[in-house]
Amino acid sequence: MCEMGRTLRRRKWLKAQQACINQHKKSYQQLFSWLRSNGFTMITKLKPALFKDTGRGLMACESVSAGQVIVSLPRNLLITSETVKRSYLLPLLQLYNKELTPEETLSIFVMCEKARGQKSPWLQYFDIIPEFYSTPAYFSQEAIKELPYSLQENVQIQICCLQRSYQKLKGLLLQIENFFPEVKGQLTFKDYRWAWFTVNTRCVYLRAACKGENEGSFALAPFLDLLNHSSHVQVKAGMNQENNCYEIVTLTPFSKYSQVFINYGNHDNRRLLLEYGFILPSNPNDIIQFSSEEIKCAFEKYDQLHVTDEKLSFLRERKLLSSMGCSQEGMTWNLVAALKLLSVRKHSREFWNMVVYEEVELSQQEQKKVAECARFILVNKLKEYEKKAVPKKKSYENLRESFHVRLAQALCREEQNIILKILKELE
Amino acid sequence: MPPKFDPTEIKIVYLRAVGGEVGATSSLAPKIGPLGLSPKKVGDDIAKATADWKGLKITVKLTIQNRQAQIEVVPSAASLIIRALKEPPRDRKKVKHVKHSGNLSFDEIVEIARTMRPRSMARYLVGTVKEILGTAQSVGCTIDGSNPHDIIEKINNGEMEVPDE
Repeated sequence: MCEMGRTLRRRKWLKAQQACINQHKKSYQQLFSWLRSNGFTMITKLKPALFKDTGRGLMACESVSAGQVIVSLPRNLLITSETVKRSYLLPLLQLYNKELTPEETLSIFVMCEKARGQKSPWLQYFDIIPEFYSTPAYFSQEAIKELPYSLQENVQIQICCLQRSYQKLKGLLLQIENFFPEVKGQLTFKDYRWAWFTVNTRCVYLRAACKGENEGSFALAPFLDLLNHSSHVQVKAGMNQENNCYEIVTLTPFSKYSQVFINYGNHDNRRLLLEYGFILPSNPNDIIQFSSEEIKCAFEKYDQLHVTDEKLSFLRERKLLSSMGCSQEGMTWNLVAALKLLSVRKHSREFWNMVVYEEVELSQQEQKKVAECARFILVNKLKEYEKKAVPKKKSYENLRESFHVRLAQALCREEQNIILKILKELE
Repeated sequence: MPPKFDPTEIKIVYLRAVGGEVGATSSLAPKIGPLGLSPKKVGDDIAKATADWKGLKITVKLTIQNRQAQIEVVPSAASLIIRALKEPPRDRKKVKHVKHSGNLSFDEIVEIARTMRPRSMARYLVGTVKEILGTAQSVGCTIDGSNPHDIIEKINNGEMEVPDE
């Protein structure tokens, strides 16, 4: 018997998938009966399933046409700031004198409800939420090192923010522990991190009932957060004032037994990984940003008159230094404009204006300079990835850690592919 | 921290453009460049999206989210009237000081008023119709063969009726 056929692999995979679903079947059934008892009706028949590339998602049990309502969730099933204000936490929150952001309020609530376990009315919902997330804040130091440098910085900033927020709330959490002994010992930093990312990765936008404040702009929506993101679909989401339900209408049709997606917003891969913990292969919104220092570097050898700084501040005044980078479609307009400007020899602001905003023909020498510097920047960036891509023959004991490393490597590979594609176009 | 479907991440830019024409990059670049879009591409997209407004000056609304722009034409009373006149397209550069001496039916005016209804400050449709008639007067066309202002007077006297909605 041959042990390595395609069919065998497929059967194995199917079996594993079935096992995984069966394991959670009971939690899902409980979730649905709980949802139904709270006034939820399933308009489009969807069921949770495991998919090969995205993991858990929702499968359409019937074909879905464009303009159809996929999910409709009554208001009482959403967890918002108002839910928290109506809960037992209100007196403590009122006593606490520091200002809380809406996400902090929600995180505290989620953390407390999770700690209460069986007593919580949201038990069935928290049962199906994963215990761990794959956002870089959960990565080990080794996995973080696999990320591109500028993203590593962002990860550090995010973790710092999280720690500061926890320090700020410590007093309040102590009080909660004193008042409600059942949550004692379950309000640690780890729990807070979990709650914070539960809010961060699963929240939908909801317009505040009272205008002015940004309170209530976050809402946790059970069931709805099982939907995965795809950049190829379009949806409309919002509160339906008539039946007081949060509704998602798809503008893209789905066929029977395929996964139903929604669109979280046009984010690039770095943002998706940082906030939601996944990446999209060949994401059309992906962009690799270049800082002004990297660009300055490329021009150093040409810069005899020391005008690069002046030119860069010229661009900064016009707010053109942001989104200099390259995407699947090529270099962004901002990057091309910056390269052109840095290549011209004439030293007059009027002429620079024309170079940036109008299509001025550059001399051949200058054009050559643009192409050379573009290649220099791209090749430089590529080297950064290649340093990382040295294969490490190390097996990670922890399954989760190896998954994190693979995720970071996949992100680098995606970015590398974009740069290689553009380099090819430049030739 | 981004909730899903966050509308605050969307930027909206309004531009004046000539329908169906690719404008100069220099006029688009200062507004669109800082948002990370390519003025050239946006210019082409605007020309494509405004093909049925050929040669008319219109306001275009760009909805921008992470370097993706959606283009929408904001209707204005004058451009709707001129479009309804169905004049032959002419070259803007050669023909100057265009006179619009066509004729529209009253039903067409009411139809235009309905499209303008959300942008009008009038309480009832009658008010919007009168606004449109005022614009028609300044554009220079006639309504059912008579001066637009006569129609306004007729509405005021109750000789003519305007549907409620």
